[in-house]
Amino acid sequence: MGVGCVAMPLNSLPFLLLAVCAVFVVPVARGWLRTTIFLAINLTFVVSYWGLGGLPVGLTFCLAGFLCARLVRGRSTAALVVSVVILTAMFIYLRGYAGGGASAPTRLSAAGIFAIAGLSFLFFKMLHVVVDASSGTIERLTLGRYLNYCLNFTTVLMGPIQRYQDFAAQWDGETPDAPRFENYVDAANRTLRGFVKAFIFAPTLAPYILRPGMPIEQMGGLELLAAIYAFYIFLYFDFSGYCDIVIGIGILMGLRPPENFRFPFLARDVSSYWLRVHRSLTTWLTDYVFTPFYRYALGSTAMGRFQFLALSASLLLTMIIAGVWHGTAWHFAMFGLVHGVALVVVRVYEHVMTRRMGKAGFRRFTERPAVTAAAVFLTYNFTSLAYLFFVLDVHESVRVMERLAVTAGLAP
Amino acid sequence: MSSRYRVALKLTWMAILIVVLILFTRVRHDFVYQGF
Repeated sequence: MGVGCVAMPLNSLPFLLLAVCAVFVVPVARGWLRTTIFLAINLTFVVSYWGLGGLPVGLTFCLAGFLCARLVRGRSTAALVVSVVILTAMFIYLRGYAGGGASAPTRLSAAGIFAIAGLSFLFFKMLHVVVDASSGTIERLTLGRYLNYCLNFTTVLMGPIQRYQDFAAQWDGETPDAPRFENYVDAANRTLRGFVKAFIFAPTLAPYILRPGMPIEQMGGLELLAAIYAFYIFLYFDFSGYCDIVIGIGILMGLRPPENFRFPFLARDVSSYWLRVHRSLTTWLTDYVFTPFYRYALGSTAMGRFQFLALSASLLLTMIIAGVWHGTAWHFAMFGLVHGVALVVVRVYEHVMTRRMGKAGFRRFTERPAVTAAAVFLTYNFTSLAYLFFVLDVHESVRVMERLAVTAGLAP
Repeated sequence: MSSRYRVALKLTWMAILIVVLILFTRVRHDFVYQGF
């Protein structure tokens, strides 16, 4: 957040007025007026978070993405690589990775420049536009539409990471929701449900969740376990509540962001978990990190003959990037690595079981109620424990695991 | 259930949620993902 600025919380009157204005004006305005009004709404929102001082920094970053996207169209892969390197270097500088930035998400960066709320989301949206512009899958790339896509007040702060093509199609009137009164009531209900999750349920749980600086040695194992579980449930209410709010507003505006959550507590394995939590990030990483690297690895002489090695390396790289994307501290890389290893273990397990039982036999086995229950239980516990590395530094995480092991009788 | 009845139920539910929000909303809440 920029110095001296006043953020616009989602439950504040200014935000509600801004949302009401967007819902009633954006769908009925036409042409350049619509673009200008929506841009004014978006800039009002981002200025409240970035401050007037941070606005030039954020806009320069956005415009660099636009220039790169225009330059790479119809040019060689080298132009794309140079563009991606330039944008990544800007992101690393702004995010404060180079200065060993703190793990707290809102701060002034180590370099003393304005840390920009939503910078990581903005970076992934821009990379997607540049890569897709290079491959020719983006046709209608205009500055006004691009800025509205990047700064869209419903997605700029915390996602969901929408695709430009999806946004552009909806902007041009190809809305996925029929304009029926009942659909608008559903959207308004969804926004209200989001407010209940994010501003009643999440803050109620907040005092009990895992947090840095907890007196780990003075806490019992069960107490720690409850704090870990509470964090997972808190994060669900916090982030899915936010998503419900902005998706509801997006539907009312005719610009529906993609879905991000689908009953994560019912995930049967880590792969399924990542398709149920922050799904827009998962699909982004799959398209722009995992798939290109896997293809490259299969084509390389070192890994080409070992398909499983290529798959494992791609999964680990993707998840480490997912971890590092979340923050500048080492524990975020560990968070990604732990999930990456789990994904590889799941693949090994599936491979071994399929060889032993055959495809049909393994499917029948996994459909048994007891096996499903065990898989959901294991996944829930694994993903809860993995959040240790999301919240605490590596040293503290290891201390918590030691305490849990002592309580479970696995260590003296 | 007729469409009109369903919409009336949903509007009632909305009204209940609004009352709950007015009564119990915590004024300050920092999102975990805010700032990423």
